[in-house]
Amino acid sequence: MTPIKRILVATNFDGPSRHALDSALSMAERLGATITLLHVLDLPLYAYYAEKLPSDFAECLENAALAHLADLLARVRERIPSANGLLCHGVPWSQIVERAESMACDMVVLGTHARSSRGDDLLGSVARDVSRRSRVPVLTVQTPNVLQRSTALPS
Amino acid sequence: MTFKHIVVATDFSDCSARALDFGIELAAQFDAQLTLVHAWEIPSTGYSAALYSPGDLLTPIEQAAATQLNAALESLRERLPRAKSVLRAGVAWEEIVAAAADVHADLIVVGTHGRRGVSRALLGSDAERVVRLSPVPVLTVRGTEGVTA
Repeated sequence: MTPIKRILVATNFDGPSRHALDSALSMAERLGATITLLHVLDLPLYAYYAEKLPSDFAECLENAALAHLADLLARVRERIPSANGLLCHGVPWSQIVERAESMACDMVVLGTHARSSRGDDLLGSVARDVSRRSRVPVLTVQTPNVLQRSTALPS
Repeated sequence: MTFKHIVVATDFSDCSARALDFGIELAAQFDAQLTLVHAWEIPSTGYSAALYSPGDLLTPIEQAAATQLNAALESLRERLPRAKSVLRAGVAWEEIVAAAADVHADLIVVGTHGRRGVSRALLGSDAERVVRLSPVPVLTVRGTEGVTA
């Protein structure tokens, strides 16, 4: 098989994402791989219909996301100078799957989220959907404090 | 994150083979130990069969699983001489996670659909449960066959 040369790390800047990124950075260093840092901007629905919102609402969100991504990328480049970053719009899992393939990544690294109240607490819905659909192997990295909060397992 | 001991789950399907390839690659890169785990499940028909048949169904199943796992290990050792294998009886996802805990694995590699079918909506319920349950990172690897976007 081909060696692992490009690792896609999806981030939404939260704790699990940071934990996953830390893991990906150590792996990339060991493997001599580079990192693409991806943030998917999933605009809330009201951004499209709320007429009373400032007209530049979406632009403000995008600028904030870009600033976060630039900060994070700068830190990543301290360890992996060839790393690049990408901001795109859409449904997170779908964008992650598409970009991993179109950029010929060899692995996707994701953190787990504690988001849903429907029993998806351990495996976040984004991680679940990406690992279901991705042709590129997906490394799901658990966050210790998420684990401590979990109790029931799905039957 | 560095990997010292990688557990690769196998059900001997093509998808498992691809997962194993990734496991081997990572084990080589990280100079890690690799343990191949197979869990054979006690068939539910085994219980009803026991009602009318005194025959032992489970021993042949276990022996067949052991034979196949040994063959897989033998071929794996051509690439990773230190590799080991573990055969367990029980529900696949539980046994994979338990086997990983037993050997103090720091990574589990699992195919996302194996012998239980390729429906993508339902795929990989074992893999998904491993990801949910495992305290260590899990690499999910999808088979290449039968893939449509």
